[in-house]
This record gives sequence, structure tokens and C-alpha cells, in this order.
Amino acid sequence: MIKLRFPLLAVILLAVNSSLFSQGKDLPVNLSVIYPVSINTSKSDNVNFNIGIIGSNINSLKGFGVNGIYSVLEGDLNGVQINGVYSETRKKLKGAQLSVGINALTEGGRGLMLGGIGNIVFDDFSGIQLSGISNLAFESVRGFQIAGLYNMAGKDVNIMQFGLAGNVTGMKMKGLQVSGLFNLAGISNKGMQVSSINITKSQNGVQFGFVNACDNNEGLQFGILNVVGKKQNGTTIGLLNAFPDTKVQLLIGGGNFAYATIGARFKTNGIYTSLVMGAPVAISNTTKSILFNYNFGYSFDLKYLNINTDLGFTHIANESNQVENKSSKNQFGITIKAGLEKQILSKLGIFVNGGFLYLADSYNSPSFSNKFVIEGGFTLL
Amino acid sequence: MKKLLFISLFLIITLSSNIYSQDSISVKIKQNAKLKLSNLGKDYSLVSLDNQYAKKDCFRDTIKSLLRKKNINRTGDKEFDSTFKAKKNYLLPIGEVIVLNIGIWSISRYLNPQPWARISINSIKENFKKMWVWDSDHFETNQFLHPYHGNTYFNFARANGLSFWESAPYSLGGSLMWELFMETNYPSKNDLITTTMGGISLGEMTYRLSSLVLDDRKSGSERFWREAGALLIAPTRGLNRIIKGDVSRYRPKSIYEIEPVKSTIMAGPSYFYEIGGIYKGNGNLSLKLDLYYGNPFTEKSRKPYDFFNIKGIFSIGTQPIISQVSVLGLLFGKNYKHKSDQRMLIGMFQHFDFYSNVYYKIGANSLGAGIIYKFPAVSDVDFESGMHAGWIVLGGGSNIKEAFKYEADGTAYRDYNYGTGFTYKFESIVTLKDKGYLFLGLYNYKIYTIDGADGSDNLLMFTPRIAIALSPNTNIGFEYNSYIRSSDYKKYEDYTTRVYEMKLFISNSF
Repeated sequence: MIKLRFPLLAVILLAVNSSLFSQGKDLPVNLSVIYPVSINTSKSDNVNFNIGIIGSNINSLKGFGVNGIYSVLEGDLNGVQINGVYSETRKKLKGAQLSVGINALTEGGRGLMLGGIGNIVFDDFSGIQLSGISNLAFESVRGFQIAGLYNMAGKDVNIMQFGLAGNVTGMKMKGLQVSGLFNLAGISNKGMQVSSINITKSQNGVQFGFVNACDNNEGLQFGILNVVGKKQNGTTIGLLNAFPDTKVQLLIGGGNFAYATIGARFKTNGIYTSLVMGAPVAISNTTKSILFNYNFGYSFDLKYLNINTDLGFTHIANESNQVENKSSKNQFGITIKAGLEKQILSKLGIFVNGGFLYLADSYNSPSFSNKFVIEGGFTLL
Repeated sequence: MKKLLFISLFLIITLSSNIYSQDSISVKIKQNAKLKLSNLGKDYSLVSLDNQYAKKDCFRDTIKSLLRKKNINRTGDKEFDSTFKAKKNYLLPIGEVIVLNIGIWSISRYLNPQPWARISINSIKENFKKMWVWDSDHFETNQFLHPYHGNTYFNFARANGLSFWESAPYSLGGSLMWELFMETNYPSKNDLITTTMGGISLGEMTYRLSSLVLDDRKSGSERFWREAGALLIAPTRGLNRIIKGDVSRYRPKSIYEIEPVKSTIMAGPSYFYEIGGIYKGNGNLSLKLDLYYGNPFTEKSRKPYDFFNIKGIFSIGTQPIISQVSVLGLLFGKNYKHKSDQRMLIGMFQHFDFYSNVYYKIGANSLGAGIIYKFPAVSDVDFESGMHAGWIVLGGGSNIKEAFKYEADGTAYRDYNYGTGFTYKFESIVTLKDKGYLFLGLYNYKIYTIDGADGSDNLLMFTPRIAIALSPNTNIGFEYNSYIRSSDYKKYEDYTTRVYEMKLFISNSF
């Protein structure tokens, strides 16, 4: 009973206090159970040291605050505030706002936002946003956005976005975007994008990833597949490159090394690269197997016929070892092929290739065998 | 399931045997028209009416016209009757719920005899005496069919003019009646909660979808197909319309408030495999529906479920046919923006989740807060995202074999735990105009066991998807799903499994 008396008394005193004090005061210390059961009698009171047992709702905090569950500041936060589930500052931040859950900031500002789940800013922000899941800035960010899942900035980003899954900059990105899955800069990349997929409109910096795409490239693209949609004035290094004058075609066919194959070919001024996937692999002794074949070659475009010549690298993945007592689930090979191709309709052609596959039985201490290969099929587009 | 099939069959037969010929409806239209013209003046002309019932409507036309209406909000439609207020009837749905429960019980008692249907005064007395229990019905029964049953109660009330909140107690009442009176099994806590909460969620969702289909301005075969479609979507609403004669009532203006709809159907092969077993996986043909009802960024006051999202996955192959049903509906909320080009909806949402898979099962009824936002449009780039966090009021998650809960006689067992917990969900989509889109989804369910193996279960799903546009509405793409289930049990060894799914798809948005 005695244990209950003190908190009860505190609540009553705080409630009575609400009617005794005038509004809009500067309070050096504020204690709040849950507003209005608090020392501050009005949401326009400014506080230097604030404690919210459940939560508090004050105007500005100039100093330090800690809240159990929530905090709402009608004005600015100048200082440091630590919160439980939710924290909202309706004007500017100059300092640090930390929550286990979500931080929301309306008029932007500068400092540190640390949110266990996420941070949301509705205006320009400078500083560091760090969150377990996601950082969202509707306007521009100058500083760092670091998130467990993804970061978004509606307008410009200067310095860095780091998200395990992805980063989005609505307009201009000047700095570094690093993620596992994708980076997007809506208008331009004037820094560096590093991810599986990097996309922008004007590429004036560096794109480094499996797939890089832009409309205009005046920088460097380095990846497996690079796409430049409209204008190429930069440098592109990759296995498959599509420029404005590149003809991209689908290849569908089959042969005596894979019963069914599908792939894409990128052909620019006679030089072509192609990546083909095939399954099941005819030369494999397991039922489940797949191969990937990359080719680099030149096509002699004659009047009625094209003659294709290429060199290729093949990777074969098998369900089980191909050679007993040898780690030979995965194999590789080198191909050398030549063939004929005829365009029948504007978007349909046929091809037949023949050549040799120098097949290694394993990546570890490989033994090679020589196989004659033949393939045929259609080109589409 | 059999019960529901019986009900559906009964309703369809009743509907088709109703006064449903084109002639009869045409006569009604003419009568209405004459009455209107004589009493109210020229609201509309007989010429246009003649045109209406002279039209050679068919199913195809119905579908076409439905598709044409996809973005029409009839609240802003000149043909929408904003003065219409449905008459509220609080008693009729009570009677309908009782009759439905007795009907289902009768089928299970006499047509397809079930031991639990052998009720008596004594069994009812026993049910009142015994405390509520956690039952051991199949996962699908408890997590999907019971909520579906609750939806039928809810729709009786909605169809009688009651609002969302007024209809909710009918799901509770119908479930209470069933649990206490209609089974010899002891009343079940889980049934009461899932039937009520899931029933409300599925009920309002099906009510809204059926409103999209219904149009009392139509006649002839188009009207027939619309009514049949609504009956299929919300059977008890359809039944109520038959009882009240609404199926054949002509109205010159639409009375159903509907919101714009954006939906996508994805179809393609998928391949599931466990970690380290890429060659031992299983293939399926997967069909996915992703439907958004309502525009969350339109600034307006909203009623419950004026905005909702449904995700449904149907599989042919080794996975269950109904592999996923998820509904996320707005209960209340408001739009917020700091600057004019910002779009955001903040609100409280109701979640219904049902995942049934050979590798894991999760069912959850949740309530929570959420934010949906759209970034300022930047030249051909559109970005939308949403994040939700909620309390799982009651959820069920896969168990391990050692911890299966058996019935006293050993004949039945429960292969899942019941519990409460929390969920969080993140979705974002970046659309590049005429080029394609990137989608990222993260869904997590944490359930602390109340009944079952003591401890907790967690299911984390990560879904990246990339699509390339073939046309403005058609995409092809690839989706890679990662499911990580981890269980932390007190009496059993911790259990973790990782399952992956690769999916190729072609999709169409409409």
C-alpha cells in the first residue's frame, strides 16, 4: 500500500500542477508521466532537462531529455533526446535524436538521428541518419544515411548512402551509394554507385556492379552487364555491354552439349558478346545440371548471310560429381565455334554453329577432354 | 471446406432459380422508369432505358466494362447517388447468422455426419461449464476457414446497411453461437479470436470487392454476371440481396461507394529449395494477385478499409493451392505532408496473414500502425514505400515434430503453436517509366508461444523482385524469395531452416 502511495501522490500533484502554472514558460526541469500529467502545463513550455516516464509533449528542448515510450516536441530540439518507441520533433533538430523505434523530424536540421526501426525527415537534413531498417528523407541529405535495409532521399544526396538492400536518391547523388541489391539516382550520379544493380540517368561518376544502367554515360561503368540508353561518351568495361547502337537479341536453341538454351546477344558493329544458359547439360551424367556459356566474337555480315566466329567460356554445374573421388560437381570449358546465321524476317533469324569444347572435369587439378559441339536455333528481335 | 461448398452451391442454385430472366428484369425496369417519369420528371429517358435492355450484353462485355471502371471512384461520379442511405436493419442479420449456423450444422449432422455435430442440451451445458480451450484443428481450418466463416457473419450485417464497426460484433456473435451451441467440442479461444478478427478483415475486403462488381444500373445478362460475381466474392451478401430482392432491383444511379483499384496478376514457374539442396527442390506454377483498393495519397477522410491491399498466391504443383492470403486494411488514418509535393498516409491498420507452405506455416491476426508514402515525382522515376509494425493478437506458426500437440485419443494433432507477438513489414517499389520496376519486401512475424512448444517462432521473409516492361501494363521479371524460420524453444532444440524460392513471371497490371 505504501509502495503505491508515492506514485499516486506524484500523479495527483502533477495533475494539480497543471492548473496552477501559467502557459508558455521556460522550465529548467520537467517531469511528465504522460502529458498533461506533467510539470509542463502547456505544449508551448520550453524545457532544459526533460523526463517522460511514459512520454512527454513540450515545445522546445534545449538540453537533455529521456522518454520511456514517446516524445513530441512542438518546437526545436537543441541537445540530446533518448526515447523508447517514437519520437517526433515538429521543427528543427540541432543535436541528437535517438529512439529504439522511429524518429520523425518535420523541418529538418542537423545532427544525429539514430532509430532502431527508422528515421523520417520531411525537410533538408545534414548529419547522420542511422537506423536498423530504413532512413527516409523527403528532401535533400548532406551527410550519411546508413540503414539495415534501405535509404531514401527524395532530392539530393551529398556524401554517402549505405543500405544492405538498397539506396534511392530522387535527384542528384554526389558521393557514394553502397548496397547489396540496388542503387538508384533519379537524375544523376556524380559520385560512385556500388551494388548489384546501379541505375541513374546521367552517369558522370562510377558505376560498379553486376548490372549498371544509365541514359547518358560520361563516366566509368564496370560490371557484367552495362547499359547505356542514349549517349555514350564515357568508358564501359563489362562482359555484356549495350550501347545506343547495340543490337540486343534473344537466342533460343539447343545442341549436343545442352538440350535447351536461352540467352542474349549484344552486337555492336559486328563485335558481339553473348551469355547463354542451358539445361539439362547433355554431356553431364546427372539429371539435374545447368550450364552458362559466355562468348566473345565477331560477325562477318555478308549480303545474304552472316558468318559468326567466337571464343567462349563455359561453366557447368552438376547435381553430383562427374568423376569418382574427385570434386567435380562444377566443371568448366573453353569453346571455339564458327557458324552461319540468316535473318529471315526483320526480327527473326536462324543460326547453326559448330566447334570444339575443351572440357575440364573439375576446377581443381583439371583434366581436359576434347568434344565436338553443334548447336542451332533462333534469334529474336 | 465441404460446408462452404454446400453453402456456395445452395446460393448459386437459389440465385439462378430466382426471377432472373432478362424479361422479368426488363419489365421491372420499365415499371420503374414509368413510375419515375410520372412522379419525378425526366430523370432519365426511356430511350436510354430501351437502349439498356436492348443491348446484347454478355459475359465478355461485363468484364470489359468492369475493366473500364477500374479507376472510377463513384463518389465523384455523376451517376452516383450521394443522397442514398441504406436502411439499417439490426435484427435481420441476427436471424440470418442463426439460420446460417443451423444450416451448416445440419449439413454436418445429417448430410455429411460429423461426430462433433451430435449436439444436445447436455453438450451445450457442458460447453458453458468448461473453460475455453485451444483446439487442434488443422492449420488451414483454424487460420483460413474460420476467418472465412466469420466473413459470412460480417457480410450479413454489412448487407443490411450496417457500418463496418456496427457489423464487427456480428462476427463475434456468430462465432460465440457456433462455439457454445453448435459443436460438442469445447468452445475454442483461438476460433473465437480468428473467426472474429479474420472475419472482419476478410468480410470488409470481400464486401468492398463485391461492391466493385455490383451495379444496379445494369440489366440483362450483364446484371446476371455481376450479381453472380458478387455472390461468389461475398456469398452471404449475395444471399441477402436475393432475400431482399436487391438482385433484380433497378436503380438509375449507383449506390455503391467504391474506390479506385490497381491490381497486378503475376504468373509463372517457381522453384523452392532448402539451403544446400538446390537440386532437391520442387517446382510449381504460381499465380499471384496483388490488389490495391483505394488511393492512399488522396487527401480525404476515410472509413475503415477505404484503403486496403490483398496479396494472394495460388500454386499448382507441390505447394498448397492457397499458398498465401494477406490483407492489410486501413482502420483509420490521415494524410500528412510538410511540403506540397509530399504524399503520406499515417494510420492504424488491421492485418490478416495466412501463409501455407510445405516448409513453413504462419497465420496471424494483427493490429498496428503504418505509414505509406510516395516520394516527390522525379522525371520518370516513381517511388512508393510503406512500413508497418503491429501486434499479433493471435498467431499460429509451424511447430517441430517432437512438439506436436496430440488430442487425448491420439487421433488428431496440431503441428503448429499458438501465440502472440509482433510483426513488421516493409515494402518499396521504384518504377522507372516504360522501363520496369524494382520491388523490395521484408516481412517478419515473431510469435511467442501461448499454447504449444514453449518459446518463440520467427519467420523472416525477404522478397526482391525486378521486372522489365514489355508494354505499359505488362512486365516480365524475376523474384527471389528468402524465408528464414527460426524457433527458440525451451524444452526442445532450437530449430532454423532457410528456404529459397526463385520465380520467373509475366505480369499484367489493370
